[in-house]
Amino acid sequence: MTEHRAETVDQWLDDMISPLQELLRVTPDAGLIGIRKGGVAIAQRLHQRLQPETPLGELDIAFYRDDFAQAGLHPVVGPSSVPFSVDDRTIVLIDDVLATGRTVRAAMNEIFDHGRPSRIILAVLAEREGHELPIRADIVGVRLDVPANAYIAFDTVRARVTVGTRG
Amino acid sequence: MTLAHPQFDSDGALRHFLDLDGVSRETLTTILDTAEGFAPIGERKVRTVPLLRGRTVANLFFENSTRTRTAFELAAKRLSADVLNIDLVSSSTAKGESLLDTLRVLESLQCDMFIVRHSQSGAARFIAQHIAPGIAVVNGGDGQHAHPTQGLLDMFTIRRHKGDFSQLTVVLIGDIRHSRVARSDLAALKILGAGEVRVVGPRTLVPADAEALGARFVPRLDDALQGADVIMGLRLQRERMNGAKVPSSAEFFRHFGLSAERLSLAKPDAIVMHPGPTNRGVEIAGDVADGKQSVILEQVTAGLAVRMAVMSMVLGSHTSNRVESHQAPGVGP
Amino acid sequence: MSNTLTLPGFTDLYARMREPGPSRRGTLASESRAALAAGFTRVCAAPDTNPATDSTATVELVQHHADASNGAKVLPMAALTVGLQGERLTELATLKHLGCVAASQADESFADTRLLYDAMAYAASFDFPLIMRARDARLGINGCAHEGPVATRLGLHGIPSAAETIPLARLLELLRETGGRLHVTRLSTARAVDMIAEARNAGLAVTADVGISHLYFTEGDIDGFDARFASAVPFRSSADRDALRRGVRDGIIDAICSDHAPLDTDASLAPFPQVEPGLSVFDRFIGLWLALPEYCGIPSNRALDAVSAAPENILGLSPTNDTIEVTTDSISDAWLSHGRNSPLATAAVLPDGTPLPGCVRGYRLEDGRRQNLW
Repeated sequence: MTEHRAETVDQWLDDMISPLQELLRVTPDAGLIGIRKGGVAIAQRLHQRLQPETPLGELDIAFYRDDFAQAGLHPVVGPSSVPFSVDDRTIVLIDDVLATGRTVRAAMNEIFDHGRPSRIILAVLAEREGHELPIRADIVGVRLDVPANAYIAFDTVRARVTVGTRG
Repeated sequence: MTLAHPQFDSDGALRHFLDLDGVSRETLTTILDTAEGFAPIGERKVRTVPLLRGRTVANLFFENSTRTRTAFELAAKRLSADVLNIDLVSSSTAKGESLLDTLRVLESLQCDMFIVRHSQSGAARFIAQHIAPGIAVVNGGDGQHAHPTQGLLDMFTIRRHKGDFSQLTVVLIGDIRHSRVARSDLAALKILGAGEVRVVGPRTLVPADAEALGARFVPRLDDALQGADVIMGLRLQRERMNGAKVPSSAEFFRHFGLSAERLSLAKPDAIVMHPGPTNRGVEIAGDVADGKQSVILEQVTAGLAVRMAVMSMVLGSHTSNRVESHQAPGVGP
Repeated sequence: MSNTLTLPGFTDLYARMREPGPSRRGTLASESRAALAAGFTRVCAAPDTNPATDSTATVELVQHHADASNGAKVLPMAALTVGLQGERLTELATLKHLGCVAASQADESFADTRLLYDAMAYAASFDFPLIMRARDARLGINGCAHEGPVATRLGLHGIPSAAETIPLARLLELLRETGGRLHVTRLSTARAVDMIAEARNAGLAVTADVGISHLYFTEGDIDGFDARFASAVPFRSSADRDALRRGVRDGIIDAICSDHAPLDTDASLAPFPQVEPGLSVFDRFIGLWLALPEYCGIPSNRALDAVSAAPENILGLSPTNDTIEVTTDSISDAWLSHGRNSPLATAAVLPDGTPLPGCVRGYRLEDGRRQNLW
């Protein structure tokens, strides 16, 4: 098991800041939306540092997951909150880890039920192998080269990232 | 008892939703929380989520109720389910075909969920006990027994306005005896630990053993309303107000009708609820039903989110992984 | 450890043999043999057959089929009114002469008090026993359970205790005026037991029985809409059940009957209020009877009296010479009732898990027939 300390994670976040600043310079009304739970924690930190004009949005993708038939409803569901119109706006979708791409797909489906954005940018703290869909991140804090059976966990409280092996 | 409640699977998850017997505070709270997740969907441009895409929900109404049927239909459609309305009031069951024969035919329509409304107490449970294993049953009201989604939407509405149940004084007025809504409300209030629950009405409409329902009988409305946080009116059926259980609707209103004057006896921030449709001037004065303390229309809206939550949780417990994990090798049906 | 008792054959004051009527519910052949396996060598057959046992033709049919059945001796009861409609008296004297041991209105109510008065007076003039259930159908309208906390919670129409005590008071007051032999069958309330005791103390010649299931089950058993406990005489509170047990123990309730009501499976396949009420009792009667001392506090000599000498006296029968051999160690499925509607049918245990071992091993009848059942 490998642990990346909070200072390391902060560096990854730093690497995400400058491309986002550039984005906000061109489209100052771009809206940041975090995917619950890990993505929201990342988005909150980025939102705090960037101070954009649009308030932060949060998505709970439980109603959009593609594994309902296998796993049922996620046991803890909260309301999504998108306190701005997504129509014709640039949306920055933020998650902690991009692996299969299924979460992002569900999140994009939900965003389109809120309106029609002009474009969607995907920003993730960590990207790894294991894509199952043609979804890649535009802004990446770090690329982690981990074995297929590894998991990457972002600790929202202590802002640490743990890489371990299942089973 | 020897008979297990058919609404729980071996893990205690809801595989049907028939009444509130045996439902824990945790489960009930999860349903309300999930409903909070669904509530904002009604405010969006696109008012559907794809959760139940490809599933079929059938409304089996052995008794007429346009309001309840419409609420379930809309909730199912917001979950992207296909909805089938089957009117059984005027069909073959009325002509002597047995309920089980009717069920066998409906099973072959390959539905995933039946919403059942029936005039006999216990009908939903009976149907759940005899239905093919892949089909979930949600009780849309059985006789005088239970109307659990109505009970939950009432709790959802109360929680939004009042929060903590343990401090609340709740008053139910009128026809408790014949009301499935009252039974489900009282059961839910008990599970959520409501502070004090009072029932008030003439003895013809309030059972002698109200404490079996977890409530205290108070004979006079004015006394019952003192310090109330939540006031729930109940529908009085026409056939009971013309001499059968109550001499006249006018006499009922004089003694048990919720007027603005009486409402002032409750706490100033008390909310007024009614499952609808209201009989104005019988259970409730028109100005109270339309007044600023009334949350009657909010209840209707809450019904959508609550029914979406119940449907998705119940169908979620019928998933392939769960089913496999329950079938231990060598165990027969 | 096997333990075989040789006992006098039992007499049942109230059982439904279902013939004439749809044979899927039971026939005189099936039910009279099931009665023997329950220990009964004589059974009073309820008149609520289809058609009702209200004519010489029907009585003769019952006797003819019963005689050919090789089971318990069937003692037909005559319907008190034509078609049990409560409107016209049947030919009571003729039916008695034909061999009916008593007349009864079965589970039907009696709306017309004048006609009831006349029925009791007429039966008294021929010394014909009446076996009457105290029931006010109107007070318990649509009722399918005891009016109490369980029915309140389940939203079931209740049958108040007064639906038994009011018509019981009426029967007792009429008996005071008409005289005759009145036996009140299948009590269910504590108050009714007191009323019988008070009437006896006042010198009225009234006797009473209770269905054996009512010494065991209560309203709590129907919880969860358990249709196996749907009974025409509702299971009431545990206080009522305890009073019934004491009533039998003290002899205020003279006899214990089976109240056997076999039904086909379809009759139970409906929502609770639409289920046809009734318990099939014969198959587990011996188990329930053997458990009376331990489970119901009824001494074994009183338990035996309640199914032998007491019913014989009520009917005016001479003591039987039939004997049965009862064993306490196992269950035999030798002769089963057609009725599968028993809460104890699948396992010889009470709902709380109490086992009820025991079966009739064989019998010897006074007509010379003898058989080992297994």
